[in-house]
Amino acid sequence: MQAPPSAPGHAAPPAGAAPGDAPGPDPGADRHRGRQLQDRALVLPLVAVFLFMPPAIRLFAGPQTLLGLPVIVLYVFGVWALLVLCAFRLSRGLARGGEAP
Amino acid sequence: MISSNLIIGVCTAYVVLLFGVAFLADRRARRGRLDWLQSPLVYTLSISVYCTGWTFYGAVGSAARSGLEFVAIYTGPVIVFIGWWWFLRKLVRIGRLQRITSIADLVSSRYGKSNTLAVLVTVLAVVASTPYIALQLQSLTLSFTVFAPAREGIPPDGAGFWIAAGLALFTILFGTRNVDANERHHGVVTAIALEAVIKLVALVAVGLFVVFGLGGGPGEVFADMPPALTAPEGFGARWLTITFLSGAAVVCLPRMFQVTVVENVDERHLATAAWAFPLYLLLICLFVLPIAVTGLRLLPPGANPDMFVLTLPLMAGQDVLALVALIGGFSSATSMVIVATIALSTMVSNHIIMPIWLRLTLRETKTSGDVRSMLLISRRASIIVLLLLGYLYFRLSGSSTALASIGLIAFAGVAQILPSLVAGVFWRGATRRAALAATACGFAIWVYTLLLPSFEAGLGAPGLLANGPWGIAALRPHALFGLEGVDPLSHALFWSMSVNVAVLVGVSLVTLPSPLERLQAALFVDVFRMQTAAPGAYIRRYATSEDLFTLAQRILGTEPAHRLFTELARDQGLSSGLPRPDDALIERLERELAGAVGAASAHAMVGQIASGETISMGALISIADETAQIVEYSHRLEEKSRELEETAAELRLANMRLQELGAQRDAFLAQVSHELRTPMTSIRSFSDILRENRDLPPEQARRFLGIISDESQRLTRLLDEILDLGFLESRRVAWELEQVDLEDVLDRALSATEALTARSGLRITRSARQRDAQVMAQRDRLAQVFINLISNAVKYAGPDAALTLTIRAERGGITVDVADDGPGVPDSDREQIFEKFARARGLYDSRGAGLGLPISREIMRNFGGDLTLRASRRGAIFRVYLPRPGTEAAQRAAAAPGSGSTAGAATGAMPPRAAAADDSAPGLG
Repeated sequence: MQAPPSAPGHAAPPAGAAPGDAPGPDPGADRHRGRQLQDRALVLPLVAVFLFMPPAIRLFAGPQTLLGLPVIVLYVFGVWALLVLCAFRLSRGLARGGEAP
Repeated sequence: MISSNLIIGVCTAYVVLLFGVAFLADRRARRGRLDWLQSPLVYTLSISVYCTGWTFYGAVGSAARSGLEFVAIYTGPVIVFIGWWWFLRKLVRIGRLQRITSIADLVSSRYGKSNTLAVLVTVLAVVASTPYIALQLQSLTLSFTVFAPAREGIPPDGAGFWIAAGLALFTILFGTRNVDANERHHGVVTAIALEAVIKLVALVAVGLFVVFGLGGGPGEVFADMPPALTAPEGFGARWLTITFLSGAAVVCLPRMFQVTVVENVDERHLATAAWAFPLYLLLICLFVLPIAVTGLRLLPPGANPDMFVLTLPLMAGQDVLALVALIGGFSSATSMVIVATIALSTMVSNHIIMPIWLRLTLRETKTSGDVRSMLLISRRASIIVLLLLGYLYFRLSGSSTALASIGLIAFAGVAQILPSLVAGVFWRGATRRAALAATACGFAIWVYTLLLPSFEAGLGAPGLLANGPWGIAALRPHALFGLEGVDPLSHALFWSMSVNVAVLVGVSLVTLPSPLERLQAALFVDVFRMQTAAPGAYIRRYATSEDLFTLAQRILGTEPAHRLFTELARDQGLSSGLPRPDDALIERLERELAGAVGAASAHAMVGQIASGETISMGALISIADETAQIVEYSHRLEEKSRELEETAAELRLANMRLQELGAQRDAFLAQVSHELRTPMTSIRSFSDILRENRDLPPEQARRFLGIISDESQRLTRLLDEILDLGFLESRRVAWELEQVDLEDVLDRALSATEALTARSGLRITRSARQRDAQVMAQRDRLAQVFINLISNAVKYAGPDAALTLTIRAERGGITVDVADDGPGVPDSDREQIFEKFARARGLYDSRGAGLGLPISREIMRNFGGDLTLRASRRGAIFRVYLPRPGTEAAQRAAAAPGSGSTAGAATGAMPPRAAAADDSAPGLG
């Protein structure tokens, strides 16, 4: 009789990273950029939650004004506008990036 | 002052415009010219149905009362939309692939196409939305009274009724054109988009006028703002609660789900809406606070802040601007009501009316009944009933204070769907029972802590809020279990959401989902991974193409059903006729039907005509998550390695047999040489003697010549036998078998051996003659076998032995037992005596070459029979078996023996064995 086959050792051989299927100068960077774009899309709402939620937003509440406008109003609408800008740039990038995982 | 006639005229003109736009857009879409109708801009504008009359007027009122709190109504949607990649994208993809018609449909489809769940969600949505619709009617009539107090001729309630009737007409006309709820309502969406533009323009116009016309610039406007409006206290628990609720509502509100998911035609539109919708909301909100602050400053203290948008322009004498603002508010309210009733009517007709109708007409559904018209009628009736409910609620609740908070109450109501929805698309483990229990619990707590107290005055139980039911303080709706000091909204949200989530998780952990649930869970949770896999064919069912076609015809209509089936047939590569009803086709059809009647009803209807529904484990595994796939993969590897091992073992065995065969052949050659050498030696030596000794006495010379003759005869016989055996074993020739009588053959064998038996004194006993002993064989060869057996008995049984011949008819053949009472064959030699030259093992046959038994066995096997040695205590019993003519074994023997192996009998190449020979000893193999 032969030696029993070693089961776990043979199971699920790693498919292996497909070696350089894009001829570009650095295919890894492109892939990483796509990945990064998606990560940004995931982080953006978290940033929004952080900026809009109590501990952070309370820092700006109160009677103080800047250029005659209440600071909190400037803060809320400023953050809002910034978020819109980020979402705009992101969605254009993601739409160009095509399909995601 | 604006006359009431002018207001009525403007509003009517606006309504006519809306009808016209919807009609034109619908016609354009029908002609296939979709271009800008399907643009991301229209999609985004249609999502702005989120901004209702309540936000149009109420946001300013809220800002005047509590400062920036109104912004929380928008922060939730902003966060959800800029986080579209997480959640909305998945919902939209699922909605498109599964042809989802409403949020109730999505939840029910995810949890095993459970209609109970769909009913629960529908009821919840209707209960939460009816007051919300009433709120819109109220804000509309309220806005009219600002222009024209009741005494001038417009009774506010009457206006409410006519508005409701007009909205019902519009919704029925443009919202129920197609039976396919998953199809886009181009007319409605375009009208809604126009209204979105109007309300934005109106609010921005009023805002600009207030800031720069009345207020004198932004700095001036905010100069004397009450400090309470910007206090940090405004950003506490209530801020959090409202943000959460608004975020939940922008997904879970039936109308929001309708425009965002159901009406979506292209996922890329969502990418645009992700930034454009927050931008729209930003613009809507920008002037709310300035209008509120200016209103507080300029208008008398008793003025209703909810109407500042109208009263400020009126106060300044800007009648046209006021009219524009009125139209803006009108747009906000009507668009909400239209979309909400479309969404709700789809839910009611698909999940409540349809199942009841299905049950009522269970017997005749297969053959008759036009589901299509029933569906459309039920949708239209639902629209009328829903609007009537909203109107009645508005009339009965009456007081404006009761309605003011209803918007947020509705948000909290539909938010009860959120846990099941989120868990449904992110967690495979969530089960149907858990979703049912969780939603029901959350719903109940919401009703008790929020909805019920909202009409406390109407209930006639004023003590409920203060003292709790039956005076139990722990059950006070606004301070459940003593949780005091929290505003009612946060309080209700805390309890309902905690219980909802806890029940969902808890019950999921202890209940087992059905296969259909697991399948749907996989399809939903892994929607991005699954799309690459081939669609369909997870569920195995049987139905006829005709039945399926009839069903499709009755739901989709003749023309679309015909188109669908032609396309399906083409996909299957058929040029004409109905497509094959395979699993993939049934699943595809069910999805198409789900686009019209919802997943649960479609599943039930297909279930009525398809039988034997099973979900194969293989299908479940193939769509399992990655861990399960790896497990499955390694399992397959193990199986494969086991197979390989088995193959290797077989190969080893075959190799062993080959080696054995080689050894046997060598032994055979050695034996043959030895056998040939013995007579040759004696012939040579005697012929040498004869040649060299010429003076031998004649009688001695004759004796020597006699020996030479005997030995050469023996040599010839030996060679004959070897040739015979080789011929038999190779089975190159198909034998001509004939029908022979076994008794005759035995007679012949006995007479041939008569001299031999008489000489040795062998006593032969023979069983009674069988009448019907016909077998397929060759007479001479068969006789040869018996002669061989009898002469063996003479040789080995010793002198004066007894031989018994017994013929017995068996099931498929005839056996002849040849039994002697000699010493028998030792067990160890039982098979070896059938080998060539068995004498090597001490079974010396002085006159034969030891080939008799192997030859006999080969002959028998060529007849399709066998020769075996039976186990016995005394003597040797040889059994000859022959199949009867006409049996399978006989035919096989007669038909094609040519392909037999050359290895021969002794090496275990088994001939076709018959049942009667089963008790024989197995061959070497």
